[in-house]
Parts: sequence; C-alpha cells; structure tokens
Amino acid sequence: MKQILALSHARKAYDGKVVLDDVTLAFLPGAKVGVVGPNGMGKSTLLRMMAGLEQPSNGEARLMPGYTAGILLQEPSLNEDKTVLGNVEEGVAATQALIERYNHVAAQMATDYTDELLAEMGRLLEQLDHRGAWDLDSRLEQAMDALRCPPPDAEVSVLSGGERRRVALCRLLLSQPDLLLLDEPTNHLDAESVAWLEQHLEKYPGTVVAVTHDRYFLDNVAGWILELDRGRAYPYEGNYSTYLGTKASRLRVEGQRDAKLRRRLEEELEWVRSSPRARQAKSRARLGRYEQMTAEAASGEKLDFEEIQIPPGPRLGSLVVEAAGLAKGFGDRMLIEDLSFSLPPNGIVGVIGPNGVGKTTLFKMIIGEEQPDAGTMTVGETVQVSYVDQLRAGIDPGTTVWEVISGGEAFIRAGRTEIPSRAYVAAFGFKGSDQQKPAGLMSGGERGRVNLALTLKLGGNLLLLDEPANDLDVETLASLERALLDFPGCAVITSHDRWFLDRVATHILAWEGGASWFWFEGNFGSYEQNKTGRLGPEAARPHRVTYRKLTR
Amino acid sequence: MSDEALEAIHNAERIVWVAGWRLQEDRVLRQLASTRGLASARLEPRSEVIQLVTYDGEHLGHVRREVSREPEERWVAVLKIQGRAVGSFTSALAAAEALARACGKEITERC
Repeated sequence: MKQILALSHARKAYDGKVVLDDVTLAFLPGAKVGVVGPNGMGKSTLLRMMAGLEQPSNGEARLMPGYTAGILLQEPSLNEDKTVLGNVEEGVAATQALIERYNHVAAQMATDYTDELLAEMGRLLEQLDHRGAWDLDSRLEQAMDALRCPPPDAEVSVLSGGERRRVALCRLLLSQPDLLLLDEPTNHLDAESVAWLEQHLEKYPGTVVAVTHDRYFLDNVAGWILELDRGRAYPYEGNYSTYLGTKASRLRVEGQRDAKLRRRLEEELEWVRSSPRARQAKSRARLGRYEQMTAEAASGEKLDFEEIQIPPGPRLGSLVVEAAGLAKGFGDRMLIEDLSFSLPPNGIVGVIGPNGVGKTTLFKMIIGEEQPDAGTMTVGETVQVSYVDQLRAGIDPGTTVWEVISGGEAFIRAGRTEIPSRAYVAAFGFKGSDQQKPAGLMSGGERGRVNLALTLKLGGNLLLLDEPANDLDVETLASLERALLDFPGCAVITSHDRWFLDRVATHILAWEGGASWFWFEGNFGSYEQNKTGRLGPEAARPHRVTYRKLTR
Repeated sequence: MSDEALEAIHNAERIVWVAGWRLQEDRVLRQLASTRGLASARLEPRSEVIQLVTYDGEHLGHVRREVSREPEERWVAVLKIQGRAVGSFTSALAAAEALARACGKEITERC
C-alpha cells in the first residue's frame, strides 16, 4: 500500500544520549496515530523529524513526493507583524490565491472564450472543490470560534502562550496538509474545544499523528497507538482501550517482572470497559466513604514510592466550602453571578471553562485572596488548603529540580507520612539526571510538574490544582488519578482533560456563558448529557468567550 | 467601490458561476444516464477540453486536457469523489479508461 511517510532505521542522539534508536515505520494516507510514552522519550523529536525540521543522526525520514506536511509545535512561531486573522489566513493563502486566479479567469471567459481558459477553469474548480474553498469564510469563522481564538484584529505580539497555540492550531488545521503532526494539541484548550477538535480530526481526510495524553482522543480517533520507550517505537493497531488490553496480555506472558504495570493497565481497562452508569456509581460511592478512606490512610499501609503519593491532611468537618449567591466582577466584566454550591467531604470538583472566565478568581476566593462582590464564600474551620501559585512560587533559578521540590531534604514529611524525596520527585516524571536540571532552564511543562509536586506535598485536606493534566504523560496522569482516588479529602481541579474528569470528578462546576456557572453532581460525561438536555445540542458547541458588561 | 463591496460581488459571481457549472454537469449526466459501459460527453458544447465520464450511467468523474506548452496532448483523469487526479495520459480515451479502472470497473463496452 502507498505510504505517505517512511522512517528507515532512523536514529537520533543529542550529546551522546540516544533518544530514538533504529526506528523503522511506515505511515499510510488517512491513518490516525496517537503517540504515547513517558516524558523525555523522544515524542516531540519524532514529530520534528517527520516534519523535516530535524534530520536523523543515522537512517532516513522521508515524506513521499507530492504530499505536504504541517506541524503544531509545543511553542509555535507566528508572524509577529500580523493580527490574529492575518496569521490564521496564512493557513489558507494557497486557496485564496486559487480563488483570485479563478475570479480572473472567469472574468476573462465572459469576453474571451478559449479552450485553454476552459481547461484552466476546470483545473481551478477541481482544486477549489478539493480544498472546500466555497465555504472558506464560514470554515475560517467556525474554526476560530470553536478554538476560542482571540479577537481577529488582536496583535499577536501581545498574546499569551496559550492564545498563540490556539491561533497556530487554527492556522494549521485550515491549511489541511496531507500529514498533520500535532504536539499536545489539547494543551491550552478547554474541554468543549477539545471535543470539537476530536470530531474535526476524526473526519480529517489526511494522516494525523498526534503526541497527546488525551485518552478520549486516543480512544475515539486513533486507529494506531505508537508507544515510544527508551529509544524504541512499538506500534499497536487499535485505539487506546485495545492498546491497554494488548499490552496487559503481553506483560502477562512475560511474567512477574512487570506485574505491577500489568495490574495498573488492567485496572484502567476495567474502567474503560465499564458503563457510564457504573462509573457514576463509583464516583458517587466515594462521597460516602470519607470515614473509611481516612481510617485506611491512617493505618500506615505500605506506600508504593514509584507512584504519586498525596499525603492525607487533617480530618475534615462537614463544612468544607460553601458558596451562596456568589457574585464577582473584574474591571468592567461580570465573571460570576448568583452561584451557590456546597462541596462535601471527599468531593472532587472538576472546574471547566475557557481561559479568562473566572476559574483562577474562584481559587482566589477560596483561599481568601479575593472577596466576593455579593453573596458569601465560606470555608470550614477544619480546612487546610494545598495550593501553590505558579507565578509567585519564587523559585531560585540556580537550584536544581530536586532541591526546589525537596528543599534539599532526604525525606518529604507531611503529617505522619514520610516519603524518600528522590522517589517522590521521580514520580512526577523527573528521572535520574533530570532531577539535577537547574530550575532556571525548566520548560513550561517541567515548571507545571514541579508546581504539582510542590502542591501535593503540602499535606492539606483541600487541594486546589490548576490544569494538572497538561504536562503529564499518560502513565504519570494515570498515577495522579489513582492518587486522587485514594486521597481522603477534597480537591478542586481545573481541567480540560475529559478522561481525567470522568475518572476522578464527583462534581462539575462549569462555566456556561456570560457570568453563568452550573453546579452538577456527577462526572464530565454525565454533565455533558445533562447540558445538552437542558440547553440543546448547540450548547455543547464551543464559541468565542463574550463577557457580560458589569452594571453596578 | 469599497473592498467589502467588491468582495461581495466576487462572491456572488462565484456562486453563480459554480451553479451554472453544476447545471451543465446535470444536463450532460442526464444525457449519459441510459448509456451502457464507458461513456463520455463534453461538459461545454463549444469545447472538448473537459468531458464527463460515466459507466453504465454512473458518474465516475471527468477528464480534462492539461494547459501546456508541450506539443503532445496530456489528459488528466479526475475522480468525482474529492476531485483527486488519478494520472496523466496521452488521450482522453486513455484517461477515461484509467478513471474506470480506478473505480473498479471492467471495460467491456464503450460509447
């Protein structure tokens, strides 16, 4: 069968460290491939080689003649001299040039009919049909809306990192390359935009290769899972569920050595195969098990230090966080209006909504840094919050990753729990020499993981986590999920990772437009069903954020 | 006239042009609907450079003469689905036959 790209004995090394070793793969037209593997295993390097941005140290990476490739990098570059719309339109520049030529030929044919003009018109119409040029304007508008791009006339030089990624993603999707390479495309998107992107990629006519930790994408879109581990590439035909099952079977055959990993995979597979009703029952059951979980945590059961551990905090009383008629504005914008909820002990709330709608403001009201304009936010006396504001963490750039997290101590102590600090740091994906990296050289993703590690060791009974899933690979994400499910306490977590929210959330607090928020008991899947039932299917489609003007 | 007005006019002209093209296609396909085997007919009566291709009346795509400075003719075969070309050939007949093979048809009759 015809290939679109081939890797032949490809090898890549940096400063003596082999990242990819003797990789031979063929990618077929129309294939949808999810790439997984621990952080630092060469996933981004693989994409860059496929895009031609890097050459293998040995071997070959070859895009077949006649095919185009496009890549979304972790930190994409935009044209700083253009607006948001100007950058997005770069993705359709070739189509726009064809449309201009078409207009010109059509005008000529009105007065000067020749065979050559008709033949050229035929060629132009084929290409414009193929590119879907006839509804280009509405596709542009729809994509920018669904990905919640900044206003079209905004200068890109003032955009945040997340906004730049959304503009770059929009530009890339509209250019429709034959081979679409995406490095963590769901980072900086909210849950509804992720769902839109998933549907878009499912229908995408070309080949898609995505490095992603989004397990619903891996399950719903991918027809192949490519696992990268210690320089080697292992393709699995099927989606994420099939991959879990195949890998668990393979480990069963290989014996006890990877028994722990096999058990973890089987646990996740069991959840995957469970019905929505069974998942709901499990999350509801958590709410009634606070006393039991607290007792289990106090029994001092032997901990597995290779996994993320969340030390249990002090015992929670019945009042945790209660909001009544809460209202809050910022500048001339109303962010929250008439919000009421009560977070029970052992509740895990997933907070969903695009950037800028008030999620951080909610956190700040819980920790008392901001006060509501109206209504009340009451935090119980027994509550001890674990929260680290990444922007104010005050990290010395000269210290190492290990030093930042451990404070230089051999053990991390929180309450009655004691964890070897090297093992604790490693559980967040910082293995071996990664722990010696100077903090000043950390990438955005590494800073996120350090922040998560700092937060979880604080020993509180109410965790406030801001997009913890963003910077974790699939395995570490699963470890965090298990830790949260075992944690006897509460958590309020902003996330756009639908699988993560379905797995851990007992409640959803969702922004639904303007200053309107909805409190729902259940996981993300149940919330989406409820929302469609209440507001109609159009409500599930993402739209650009518009704010209600403050009237006071 | 403003740029927006010009753009609106171009859009309208485009819509009319493409609609006219589609009507031509429908007219020709109706003519070929009752034919057996491989058949083709000019899209535009004044010119042979674009011909619709059917098989047992089923629309497969079209063949188009390439705009070229070369003395030999080149004909492109284009599938109806997605507008993808299946190759370039030295005659309209060869291109039509290639189109039929790409659609899984066995060529036994030609109209």
